[in-house]
Parts: sequence; structure tokens; C-alpha cells
Amino acid sequence: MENPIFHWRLFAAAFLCCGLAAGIVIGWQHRTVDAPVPTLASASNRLDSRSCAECHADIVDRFQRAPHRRTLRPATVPELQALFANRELDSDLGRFQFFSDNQQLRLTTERLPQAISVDWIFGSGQHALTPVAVWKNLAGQIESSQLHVSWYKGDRLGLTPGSEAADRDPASLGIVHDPHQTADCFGCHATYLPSDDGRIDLGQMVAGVSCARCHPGASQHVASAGETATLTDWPALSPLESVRRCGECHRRDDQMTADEVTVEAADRLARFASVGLVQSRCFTQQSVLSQSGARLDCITCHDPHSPARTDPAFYNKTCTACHDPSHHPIAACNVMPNDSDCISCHMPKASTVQHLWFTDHWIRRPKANRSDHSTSPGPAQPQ
Amino acid sequence: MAKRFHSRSHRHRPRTPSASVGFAANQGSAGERATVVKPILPLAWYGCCAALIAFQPVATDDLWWQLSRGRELLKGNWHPSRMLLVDETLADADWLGGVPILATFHLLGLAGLATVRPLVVAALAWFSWRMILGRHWWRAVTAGLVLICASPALEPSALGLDFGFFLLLGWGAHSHRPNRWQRRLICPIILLLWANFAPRVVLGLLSLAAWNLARRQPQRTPAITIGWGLLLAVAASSLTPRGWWTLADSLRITFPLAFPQGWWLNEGPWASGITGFPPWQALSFVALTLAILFQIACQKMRNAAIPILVGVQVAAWHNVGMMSLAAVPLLFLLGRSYAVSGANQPGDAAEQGEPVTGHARHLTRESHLHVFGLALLVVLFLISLFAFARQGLGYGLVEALDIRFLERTLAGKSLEQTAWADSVRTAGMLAWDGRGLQVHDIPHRALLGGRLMDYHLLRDDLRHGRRGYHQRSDNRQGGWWLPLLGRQTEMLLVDTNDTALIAGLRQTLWRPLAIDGPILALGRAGSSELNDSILLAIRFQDYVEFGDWQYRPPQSSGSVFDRDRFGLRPEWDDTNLAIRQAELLRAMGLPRAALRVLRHLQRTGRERQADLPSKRCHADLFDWEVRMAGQASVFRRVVNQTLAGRTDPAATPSFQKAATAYAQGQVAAALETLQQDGDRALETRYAVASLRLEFGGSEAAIMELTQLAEEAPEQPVGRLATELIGRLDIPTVH
Repeated sequence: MENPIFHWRLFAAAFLCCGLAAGIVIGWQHRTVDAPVPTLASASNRLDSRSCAECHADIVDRFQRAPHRRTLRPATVPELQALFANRELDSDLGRFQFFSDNQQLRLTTERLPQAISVDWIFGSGQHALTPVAVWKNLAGQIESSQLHVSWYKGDRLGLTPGSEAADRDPASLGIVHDPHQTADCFGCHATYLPSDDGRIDLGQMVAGVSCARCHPGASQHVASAGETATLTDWPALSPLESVRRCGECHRRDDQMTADEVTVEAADRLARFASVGLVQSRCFTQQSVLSQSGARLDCITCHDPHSPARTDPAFYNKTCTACHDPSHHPIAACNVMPNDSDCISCHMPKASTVQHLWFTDHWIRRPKANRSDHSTSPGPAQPQ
Repeated sequence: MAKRFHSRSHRHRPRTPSASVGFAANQGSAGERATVVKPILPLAWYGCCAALIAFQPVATDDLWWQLSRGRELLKGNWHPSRMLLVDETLADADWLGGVPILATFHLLGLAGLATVRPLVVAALAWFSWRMILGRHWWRAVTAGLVLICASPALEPSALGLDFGFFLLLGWGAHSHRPNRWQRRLICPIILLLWANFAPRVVLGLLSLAAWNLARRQPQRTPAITIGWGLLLAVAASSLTPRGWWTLADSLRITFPLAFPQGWWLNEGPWASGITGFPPWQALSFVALTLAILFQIACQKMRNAAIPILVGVQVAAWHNVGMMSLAAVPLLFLLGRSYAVSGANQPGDAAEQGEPVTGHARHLTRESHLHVFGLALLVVLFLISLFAFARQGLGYGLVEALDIRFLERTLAGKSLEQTAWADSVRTAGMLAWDGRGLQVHDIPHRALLGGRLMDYHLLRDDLRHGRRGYHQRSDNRQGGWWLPLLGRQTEMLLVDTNDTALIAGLRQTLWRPLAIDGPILALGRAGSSELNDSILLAIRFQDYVEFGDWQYRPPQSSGSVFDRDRFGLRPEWDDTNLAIRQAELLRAMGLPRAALRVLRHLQRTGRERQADLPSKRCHADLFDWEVRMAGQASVFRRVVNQTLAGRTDPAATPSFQKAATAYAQGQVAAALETLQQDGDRALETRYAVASLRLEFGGSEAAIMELTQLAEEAPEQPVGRLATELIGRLDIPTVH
């Protein structure tokens, strides 16, 4: 009978081959996965606008004065502290008082023994400034309190929108937001907001809306010395896509339900310009003039790199670029002369919160002449 | 075939009386006893192993999905996935896959489905026994390892069908039929059936090609003949509603890592990694591999088996399912090796009794190696078996497949829109339950349709509360609002083990319709059909959080969904189930209810398992107090310090003692400690009221909290008392 002979080398070779095959498969499973993350948290997006200034100095210089740039600042900024410190507000929720304690802005109320430290100020000041306090819970997640008192244009203090519905009892200093809501709040007011499994890192955050926020891929653009384009080709976007990009923070029309987007609710919608604009006939029917190059979206009237213009003549001129019967067959105003102020009638200011006025971007006939706009046009259709 | 293997083995079986491993060649009565004992022990051992593997409950995730597909087919829909899924546009290649499972269900019910596993194990045990002839320990051990390795595939599922067809194909490829046409057509026919019933037909095709190229032929088969045979096999595999795309789909399902989208498989049913394999399965597979390597090194197997073995490694380490299927080629390799080499197995040489001189001395050394190899194999086998056996025995369906919770939740509802499900298990349950709701997608179909990334990104957005539209770094759109509301989604179905997802949905318009069960249904707030259920669930939540509810383990119903067969155990106190319930309650924002569940574990000697979940619940309660009052109560602070292993220097001894008892789950002892001194300080009264709430004395707690709120409305404990009173509209639940 033949006795088996063990071939060591063959065994070793075969064992190594099998081990290698298994190792390759297992290693392949563990390779680093670069999942697409929100632009806000993308590491490649952490870019200071000074890098952009090397080639786009004029734009960056203008942008320093733009409201977007200062839409989120730490509460230690002296000029912000000066707007709040040592000021009081009497409201239905009680009396609130700001004070500065060793360069730390704090809010207190007579109904509570302790004060709360203000960590961040949200808002550019074009309309309002809202103080926010943050802390870390035991799970390491950031929670926040949107404080009850805000500063409004005209140097007034008033209740923060939403606080008027807060319960008087128990006494509180603000509306508490859980970690997800906190991340949402900071997300619209920052250019870069890193997060690790839901834990945002405010220490690494780039506060304020700057270049990379609207131009994703800017860091690759800089790294390639301009060879690589940014991810968003703004001119190539359709008007609706363009408005909805702004609506990512200013609210998108397709994220609202049909009963929220009605003429009856138009005053409440005034706060969300990007929602109102896409309801306007000027917007929905602009394809009539597409061949002439006319276009209506947010940047038709607003340069996001600069402060918003306040002179009506500028906007009226934009309106008459299309509404000029000598050039285009679009109905001109049959109530007022063509050179009158369009905005005051067709885009009046509306207020749903005390001290806060927004231009109603739902361009339509003034109330006295509105007879056939009672139904909701609903979310805009892609063009 | 089996007879031929058997007869060869008989011819080569050694005639010495003690050929079993480890025994010296003995004579006389001991040798006679060994002769009698020799075949029985391995057989008995193998039988026990088979029984252990057979009596496990059905745990396959796609059971209800396959039943639903079968039902759609019987309704006349030839593309069942298209009917069941909103996002599906492709035809099903394995369109008949649900039919055998549905047929079993209709004929025998769920109990019949539960019987499939023991029957399949019995059949496989018989097949592998006949093939490997396990009367030797070595063979019995390897046969047992095959069973362990294949265990996940021995169920009524798509993987089970793949396994069955794989075995059938192996048998067909090995069978020697006199009729030439039978020989040529048997494999294509099997492949045709496989392609229409199960998804991994490409595995059979590749195995057939490799086998034909590697095996020895009595007359060398011309390459062109092999080529025509393979072409016929490919054509047969493509005779499905998907046509030529069948093999592409099969390749994508079988080897998902090979495709660009494969990296998204770190989540989902294909997620493995080295830790994703059950230890018993990985060990048994490694042991089988070693056994074959030994065979090769002993020249009991052709070297051509090496590339096959390497290919098996590449396939097997993809995921659990593939490792189960890898047991089939290993079984055939071993069987062929044993058939060819007869009784000269590792270990047999030890009993030859040859004189130890020269070459024989070298042979003795090799024989010792063979004994060592067998010993190693036996050790690995025993470890695998032990690890497997720790799951316990059972019969029926696992609790995770219990559809009764969902049926109860949706009873009487008429739903018309769509639902999103986070896995094939949850989707399958809803699809089976019907009610007119169409599910968005499932991972398998999303993989085939190139939608898997979007599927996982949406779940990621839900988990992290990213509601609004936002841009991702690759210019894709994110946010869950548009994908869900755009499809008129009325319900979400989530595995209750995914507590991160459930917690992420807490502040959204998706409200739970129940608070227990293996899957959680969440309805859209404002849905006219679901509002009643949502409100009822809210009442239940308040009741378990603040009412006099105490956790009790589920009672056995003796149904097919209980691991306790036939109602033998009245109470089913499963630790994992309790932990899952506690984590679910915590994810729903009910830490007090979760602590009630965990205290049951602490009272019944399972403190270690309850430790970490308890700490998380206490942290939640601490955070809640900070959120509401700006600072936590003293008692809560001391509890957290105690759990962190520290003492609070400002705490009184009674507080410290009470906190220690409370942290250990002894609420009554903590209450007694706080009350014995008659201390009426605000913090003490608040602590007592909080403990009474958790202990079930809600009326006394309400009285105390009301007094606190009136006496000190602006103190932290007063504010906390006010908050709690506001939430304490406790319903009575019958």
C-alpha cells in the first residue's frame, strides 16, 4: 500500500495563495470609502476667501461688505456686543436683560436666577440679529438655545420670531434645539461645518456664507490654479434651478406643501423670497422672452457678492427691461405710468413679525386689482 | 454515483482491525471492539452535528419578500418586483423564485416553512455522507464542517435556492450517463432552471467552466467541445425575462465588490468584513480549506484543485451567503478526492505498523503530521460547533420575522400611497401585508438598478435629520424631504435595531405607530388613515414613560414565531430582546421606560449586559434636565458622577447612597434612603418625585411635583417639575 507523502512546499504555496486571495477580498471590503457628504461638511470645501482673492480680488473685496459674509459671527465681536449689552426688553415672556460680563455677553431674566452666555450671533443685521447659546450634551453633540430676544433694524430689541408662541411657564431664556436642528441652523449660516457622525465641530467651522458655500469645488479650483472649474456652473442653470439653489437656505418652493403656498399665505411667505419669486407670473412665463436673453431669477436683481441695492430706480429699470411695450409684447401697467415705481405696488413690504419687514417677492397685481389669483399655483415646474 | 464512490472506498478500506485514528494496532478483544465501534462513533457524531444544525429557526431576511413575489406571480404579474416596488423598472431574472416558497407556505403554512430547514439538512447530510463516506473520523469531521459552513443557506430563501441548484449542478456535472445527449443537456437544463428561480446562476456557470477545464477526462475532451458546451450553458442561463442581462445581474449580485458601486456595500446585506462572518462559519470554512490543502499536499488531490480552491476563497470571503455557497465546491472536491484515494487518508498511516527504518522513519514523521492535521481539524470543528451551538436550538421563525406586530398596527387601515423601508425584511413584511402600500425600493433591486447609492444616502439623511435640500460634495442632491414627499410617502418602516435612524426621526413628521416589535412603522403626521394610530402610540409612550407600567418578558404563544417550541416555556426572557426594547424606547425619547426594561435585567442577574444601555439612559435624563432648566438637579448629577466612578463632594451621604442604589437599578432602596431622614429640601423632594415616577407611583409624584412647581417656580427643580407636570397627562391603558 502506498503511504502518503506530505509535500510541504506544495502545501505552503497553496496555503499562501489561498491566504492572499482571502486577504485581497477582505482588504477590498475595508478600503476607505469616500461617500459624498453634504457640501458643508466636505473637507475639500474648507477654503478661506483670501485664497480666492488672489485671482478675484475685486469680487472678494466687494463681498466683504455683503450681508452673506457676516451672517454668523461670534458674540465676542465688540460691535455686536455694543448692540445688545445693557439693554432690556419687556415682553409677555417677562423682562429680559443683556449684560456684558468680562467680554462675555449674557442674557438673563428676572424670573430666573441664572443667566445664559451668548455664544453666536445669527444674522447680518440687514433685518435682525439673533443671539444663540450652545453647549455639548453628554453624547458629545451640540445643542443650542435660540434666545428669546433679537435685535432688529432700527436699533430695537424684540422677541425672536417663534418666541412669541413660547410658553410663559416655565420661564425660559430661549427655544432649545436638539442636535439635528442645531446643525440645520448652523448649516445655513456657515461655509464649512464639519461633523462626525452627527457631532458638529464648531471649532473648525467657517462661519458666514463665503465663496465656497455657493461655489462648491472651490478648493480644487484653487489647488489647480484655476484649471478645474467649480462644480456649479451658474450660468448653465435654468432660472428655476438657480432660484432653488438660493432656496437651499432661503427655502425652496418644492419643500413646501400646497396649502403653505397660497395667495392667502403670501404675507407669511414674504420671508422666503425664493418661494415667492417662483410663484410669480413674471417667473413662470419668462420662457416667452427666452430668445431675447431676458431672464428672471435671484441674481437678475441681486448681486450676491454685494450688499443689496436699496434704490427703487435700479429695480424699476430691471422690471421695464421686459415690461416695455415698445420692445416686448408683455402687458405694461394699465394703472400707473411706465416710469413709476413698480416695486411699491407689485412687491410691497410685508411683516408677519413685529419689527421685521420683508419685500414680498411674489410679484403680482396689487390687492385692489387682484380678482383672478385666488387659487394656489403650487410649486413651480422645471423650465 | 454514490454507489460507485461507496464501492471504491470499500475496495481500499484497510483490513486492519484498528484503523481509527489515534489507536495503535491492537489485537484480540480490544481490536474486535474497535472494529465494532469504529464506524458508529463518527456516524453518531455526524448525526448529532446535523441535528444541531437542523433545529434552528428560519432567520432569512427575504422570506416575506419571496412570498410576496410568489403571490404577485400567481396573480398574473410576470414582473413581480415592478409591481411591488415604486422605483423598479427592470424585469426579474429570477421571476419564479418566490413560487416554491409560496407553494410550501400554501400547502403547509408557516410551520411547513419552518420544517424546510430540517428536511434540507437531512438531505444534505445524506448527500454529503454518501459522497464523503464519513465512516472515518477525518471524513466525518469534514462532512460536519460542510454542514456548519453551509448552514445559512439551508433555509427557504433565494440563497437556499442558489445552494440547492449549485448542488444539483455539481451532481449533474459528476453524473456519468451513458446517453450522450443526456450528458450534454443535463447541466444547461439545470442552469436554465437556476436562472429563473434564483439570482446567482453565474456562480454555477463559472464553476462549471472551471470544473470542466480542471478535471481529468478519460479521453481528452477537445477544447471546442468544451467551448460549445459553455456556450450552450450561457444561452440556457439567459432564457429568462431579463434575457442577456441575466448574467450581468447575476454577476452584480454575486460579486458586488467588483463593481464601481460596490463600495456602498459597506452598509446593507452584503456588509461583511472579517467581523461580519459568524465565527462558527468562518472557522468551519478555514478548516475545510485546510483539509483540502492537506489532501493536495498528500497528493490525494490533483494540483489542479489549487486554482479552484483559490477561486473559492475569492468568492467565499465576499459575504456570509457566498461562504455558504462555497461549501458546495469544497464538498465536491473532498468527495472526489476521497473516492479516488480510497482509505489512504491522513491518520490511517499511523496504524500501518511498518518497521521504523530509513524511508519508513521518514514516513512515520509524515504520519505524525497527518495525525496532527486531523487533530487540528477536529479542534477547529469542535470550536465551530460550540460557537454554533451557543445560539441554542429552536424551531419556527425567528422573532425578527414576526409579522403579527405589523398586521396589528395596520389592521383596518386603507392605505394608498407609498412606503419607504430600510431593508428587504421590512419591505417584505409590508409587501406581504398588502394594504395597497407600495414600497420604494429594496437593496437587492437597488443594486441591480444602480440606485443603491441613493438608497443609502436617503437613509443617511434620515438618520442625521437632514430634511432640507442640500448639495453634496459630488453635486448630488441631498435631503429626505423631496425624495419622500415627492413620492407621496405615507409610511416609513425601520428595523428596530437601527436606533440611530429612529432617533433621527424623532423631531420629524414621521411618528411611530407602535412602540415594540421587530420593525417600527412610522406614519406621516396628518395622514387621515394613520392619525388615530399615531395618537394611540403617543398615549402608549406616555404610559410606559410616566405611568405604572413595568416591563415583563413576552409570553410564549407557542406559535411558530417563538423559539420556544410548542409553548414549553411560558415566558421568553431573552436578554437581546430586552436590550433591543430598551434601546428602542430610548431612541424614541423614553429613557425612563428604557430604564424599566433594563432594571428587569439587573434584577435577574444580567447587570453586565444592562450596564452600558443604563448609562446612556441616565445621560439622556441628565441632558434633558440641563436643556429644560439650564442645569441638572443635584440627584441627577450625583447619579451620573456615580456611574462615571466618581463621587460628588457636594453630595450628602444619603444622596450618594441613594444614587448608588438607583444606578444599580434598586429604585425602591433609593427611595427609602431619601425618605428615611425626612429631608424636605427642594432637591430631595424632586429626587423623590422623580424616583416615584420611575417606580410607578405617578399620583404621589404628581402631587409632589405640583407642590414644587408652586413653591419654587423659578428654581431649577421647580422648572423641571413644571415641565414634567406638563407632560404628565398619563392615560390609563387597558
